[in-house]
Amino acid sequence: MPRKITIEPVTRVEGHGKVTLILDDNNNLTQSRLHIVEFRGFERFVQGRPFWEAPVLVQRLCGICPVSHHLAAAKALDVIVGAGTGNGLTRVGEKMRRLMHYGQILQSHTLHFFHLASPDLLFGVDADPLIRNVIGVAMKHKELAVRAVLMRKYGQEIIRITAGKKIHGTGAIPGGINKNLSIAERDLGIKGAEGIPSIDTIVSWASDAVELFKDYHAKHRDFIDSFGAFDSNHLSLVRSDGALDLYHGVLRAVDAGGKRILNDVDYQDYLSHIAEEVRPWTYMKFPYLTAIGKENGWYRVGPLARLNTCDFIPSKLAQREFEIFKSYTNGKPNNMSMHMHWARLIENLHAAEVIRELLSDPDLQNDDLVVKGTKNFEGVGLLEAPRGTLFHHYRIDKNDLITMCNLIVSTTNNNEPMNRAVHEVAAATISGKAEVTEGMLNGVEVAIRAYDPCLSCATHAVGKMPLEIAIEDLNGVVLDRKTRN
Amino acid sequence: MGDPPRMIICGFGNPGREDDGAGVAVAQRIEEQLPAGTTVQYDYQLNVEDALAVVDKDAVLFIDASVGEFEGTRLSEVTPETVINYSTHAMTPGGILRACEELYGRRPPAWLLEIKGHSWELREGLSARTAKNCDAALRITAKIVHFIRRNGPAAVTSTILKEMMQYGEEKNSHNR
Repeated sequence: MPRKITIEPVTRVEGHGKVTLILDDNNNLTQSRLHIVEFRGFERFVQGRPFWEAPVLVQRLCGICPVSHHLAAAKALDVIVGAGTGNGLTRVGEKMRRLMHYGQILQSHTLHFFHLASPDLLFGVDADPLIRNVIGVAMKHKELAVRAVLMRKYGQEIIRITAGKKIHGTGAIPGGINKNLSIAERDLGIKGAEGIPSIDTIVSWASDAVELFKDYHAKHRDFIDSFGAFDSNHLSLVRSDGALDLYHGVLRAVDAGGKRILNDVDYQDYLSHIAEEVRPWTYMKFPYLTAIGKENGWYRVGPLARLNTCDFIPSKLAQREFEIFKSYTNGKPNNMSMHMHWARLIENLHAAEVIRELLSDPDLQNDDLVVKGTKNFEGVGLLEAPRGTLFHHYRIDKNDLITMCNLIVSTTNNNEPMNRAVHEVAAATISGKAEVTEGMLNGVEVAIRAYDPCLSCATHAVGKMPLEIAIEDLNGVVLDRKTRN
Repeated sequence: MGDPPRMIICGFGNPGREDDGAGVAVAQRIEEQLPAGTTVQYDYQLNVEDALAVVDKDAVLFIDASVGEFEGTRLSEVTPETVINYSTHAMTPGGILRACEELYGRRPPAWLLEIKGHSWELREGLSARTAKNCDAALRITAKIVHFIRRNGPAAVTSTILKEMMQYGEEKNSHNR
């Protein structure tokens, strides 16, 4: 009898997701789907609100990466207040935002690798779920876990001193910022304090983390290279000279072989290059490159895509690791999903180096915080959030009220790739097997977690996040159910 | 007489999602009333770095919104979780205590003050019922801080917790 296997919600993925696998009479995989309940009501919610509220309002979208939404909205509104399309801010304005953004990258990448990826790598996909978490890491690798806590704490301190506060920060405003970096804040970032490491220590630890991955890779090459691997296009912002830049740049896309398919275009014109397909079985849309079309125009975003599109990394230690990373695929794009972790750790090292450089920049103490010009009625803001390219697009009316908002979040950009990854892993580990084990189900989750999807659900109140795994037949009858609380 | 116990109040939740921000609202309101030696922090969610924030304290009070089957508020002792379950980027108070034990070899005594929430839409502000619950939670928080400063955390028993909850709720009913 054909069976339908449902994994709902996916563990350790923010919000709620559901994986449905349909097997035929011989237990062969016939279909796989990752359902994500994306919250798109926000785009309607901001309509009618004054545009200058948007950088604060959008932080309600997500309690995990509010800084990314805050800055992407501010960048779009820079255009509306006539402050240019990314290069029009004062030096202190742009550099403070960059410092905030790279602080966010550091804390988010650290969290993902040490708390989500490393349990799977250190203990294996088949390990007991009771130890396959960050506490398991703490029990077996205490120094590693203690470092991770301090690295994340450091990233959050950088956000605090640039955004002003942890919740609903107001650091970025249309046309600039509302505060510079005081000498005391600068010194805190450089030298650290009790419970906060110095930036030199953070750079050193970020470098060690890359080594940790490379060491693991050397010992588990088959798993890391083949698990969830598939060819894809890759898209990200790059600096105008081709450098990795997570705050601003032009849009570039390459195919699986490295051929340029989107050639450094101005993202204000993104609608000429990217469209979103709706499919009946999910609320989340499927973006694609219009030049290639719906069938083959889907792409990956995030750390792996960024290292596939950029030409170099503009910081010494990360560039050295980038060269090793690129040499592994002879300079061609890397399509191995688990190498996302490698790419993420190289970016983490780059983020630490950028923070170190910015903290020593005297421009951060300048007082010319905001610029204004001729008002426009439409603006687009893009940046590279931890999980990938984030699009914010607003139109306003003559009363300064928002009339249209369109967001394409990183997880939406990765919708098709995540579905592909699920299918690849399910086909390899579950298809043809009579019994579905915990390890097989976790294997599917590991493939999804490599993309670190954020499901836009910051509501977390006690009792809101149980884990349930249900196995159903084709009629929806639950054959088995497992709950983790 | 020795120094008073060092206590931390951790309110967490998203104020942009209505009642989910109840814990933060109470933490922010109590902040200005607190005696020296008691600190407050609030954030969208708890995460593992909060273990660092609480581990050296003598007592911890977590405050959060809840969808639990109770009315008003609920105050209970937090024990370390044996099974860690958290979604991508959030941990429970019990998970934080477990992290303290595993990372630093010790943990402080801790309590969780839950505030019943009723509405979770994408708006600022609390629902009327939850705002009332926050009034009670504020009184309970002040009471427990005062009690611990005077008697020490070891004196907090289940009976004391019940008395504090009754105190908060009775005041609420008087004000209705």
